[in-house]
Amino acid sequence: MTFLERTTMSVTYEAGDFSTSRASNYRYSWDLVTHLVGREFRLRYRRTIFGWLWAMGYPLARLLVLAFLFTRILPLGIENYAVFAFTGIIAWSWFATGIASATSSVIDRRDLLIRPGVPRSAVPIVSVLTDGLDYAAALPVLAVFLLLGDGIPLTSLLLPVILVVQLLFTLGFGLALCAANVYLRDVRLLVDVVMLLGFYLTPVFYDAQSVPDRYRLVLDLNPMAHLLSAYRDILIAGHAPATVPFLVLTTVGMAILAVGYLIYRWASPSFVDEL
Amino acid sequence: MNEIEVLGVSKRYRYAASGMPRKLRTLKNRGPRVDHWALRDVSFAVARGETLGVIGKNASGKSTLLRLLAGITRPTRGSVHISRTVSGLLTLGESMHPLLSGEENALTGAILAGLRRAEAQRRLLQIAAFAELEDHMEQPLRTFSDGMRLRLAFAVAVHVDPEILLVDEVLAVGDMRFQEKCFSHLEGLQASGVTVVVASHDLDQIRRLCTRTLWLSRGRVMDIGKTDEVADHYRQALSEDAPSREPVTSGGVRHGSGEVEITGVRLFDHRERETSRITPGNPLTVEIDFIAHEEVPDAIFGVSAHAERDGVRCFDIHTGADGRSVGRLHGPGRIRLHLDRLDLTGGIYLLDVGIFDTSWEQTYDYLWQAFALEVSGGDHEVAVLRPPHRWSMQ
Repeated sequence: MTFLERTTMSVTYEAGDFSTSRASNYRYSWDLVTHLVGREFRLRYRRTIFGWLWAMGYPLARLLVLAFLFTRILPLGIENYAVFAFTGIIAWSWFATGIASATSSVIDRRDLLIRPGVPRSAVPIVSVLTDGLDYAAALPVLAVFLLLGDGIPLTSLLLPVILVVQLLFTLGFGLALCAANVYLRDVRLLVDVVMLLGFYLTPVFYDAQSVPDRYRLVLDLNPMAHLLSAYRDILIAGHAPATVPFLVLTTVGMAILAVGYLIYRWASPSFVDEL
Repeated sequence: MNEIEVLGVSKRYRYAASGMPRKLRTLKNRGPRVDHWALRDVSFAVARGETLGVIGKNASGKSTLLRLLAGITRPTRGSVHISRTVSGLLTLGESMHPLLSGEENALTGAILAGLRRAEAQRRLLQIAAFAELEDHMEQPLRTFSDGMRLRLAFAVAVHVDPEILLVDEVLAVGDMRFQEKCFSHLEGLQASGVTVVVASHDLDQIRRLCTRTLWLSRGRVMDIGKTDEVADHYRQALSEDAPSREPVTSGGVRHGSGEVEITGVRLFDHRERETSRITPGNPLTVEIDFIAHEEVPDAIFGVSAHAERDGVRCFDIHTGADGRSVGRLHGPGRIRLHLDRLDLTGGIYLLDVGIFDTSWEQTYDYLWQAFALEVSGGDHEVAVLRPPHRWSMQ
């Protein structure tokens, strides 16, 4: 799969032809994506007094509401609820905002598409990764919560692995939805609605165990449900996620990314005509 | 050795009826897709190190051609072959952000144009020097004037070692002296073996930079060859229909399938003098010259206007709503719309002119904001209409 290639050397564009022979230059793409991600992230908090600290504001506010609801009003009986819910909130936020911003990315950043040689897939990738930095900015808060509780278990070192698997899903969905949104602007609005539903259909603030068996299928088909339980395994319970299910999840993630990328690559040559 | 080969390229843009300006189509918003062929069967080649000029009026397909060469979009038919890396001066400064400093914006621009980050960083001084902005690079872009922004954008674009450079109408940067600097820089690039394609409607620029030139008109190649010869043909063709053509494409947007083509739009005041300015309450005549390239049984002609200051639609008059049939069209013709009195307030009004088929299924030709009409008087008007009136105290 040629991800993020810069057009160099000989290229032939033909009618109805979507695959082009291109020499790849991954180092360039790395520079491009990291530079744009840094730029977007800085811009997001430019001219604010608290700067990137604002990245913590939203998940903390959500946590406050949920913690009050489910420890004081309707106690769920989950141990160390702050850590439990916060893990879910920040991971879910990245997933939801990442997909939503990737979906509209190409429309927002037409200027990047009309640059000769800039790989088109860079546009949604930059969106997803920029939102990933918001996640990263909230991790110190999580660390504080963990230290206030039982401490940070050694298995937390596996966090990057799970982040990468989440990235596979987020990007895969993001690329496909981004392509669809160029042709049908309803997609962006639909994504917002689905993400709102998703927040409640994913065990972000409740325990997956407490879901009755006949509704289990909803959780089993939801990749974020599996990812959240993996996060909680390594961050709270202190053990690695079960190997086989996690490998299956990773494989599904790679498949979704592959399909998403193929859809994006198939659709992207005519993006500029549609914008 | 050919660096660029374009073989039988056609490019079709398809508008869903809802995606096009619907100025004249408010009565019927249903409608199928409108096809617009921006390029039809274009073939040519450019050798390594050569500079090709592309001339033609607005909407002749120049920009589409450059986009195809840049790989930004794909041909509908035919093929484009490019043998080296393409850089483009297609748009200047679109990716710049007002809150970031000149330096940060230059860095982003250079990376987007194809430099590795470290290399881009190394060239910042050079870029700042070329743009003559050394003292401003630390300041946010929002403090820059438009001219400074364009200078910076141009400086970035030409300091990235292009191999094939596409230039689209962006040489009008800065004052005369800076333009001269841009030209010399481009000439330097030419001398170092860069292949250049320049699209412009400015014949002087083309003559100066290009040995060979391609003339596009409505998406077709009219002529290709030595710049002097092509430029002469082009100029000749321009002068033949110059009086009627001039206002037609002044800044407007044009589309349509082209069976019937608008060749001229003129406005006349009540003394039958050609004008672009009337006083309120006076009559106005809109004269449309057209040519039906194919025989058409009947058509709808329309003229609409909206106020420039707030976009308020003032009128939308067409033969369809008036129940007028214009009859069979073939070859050149002329139609006039007489507005007996125009009670508009002072200000600028933009006229759209269009020819459609009788079912509104198809747009033959449509000029959006084809003409600016100035109605004199009234600097502080907020309304559109100024009906004839008088006061009487009871």
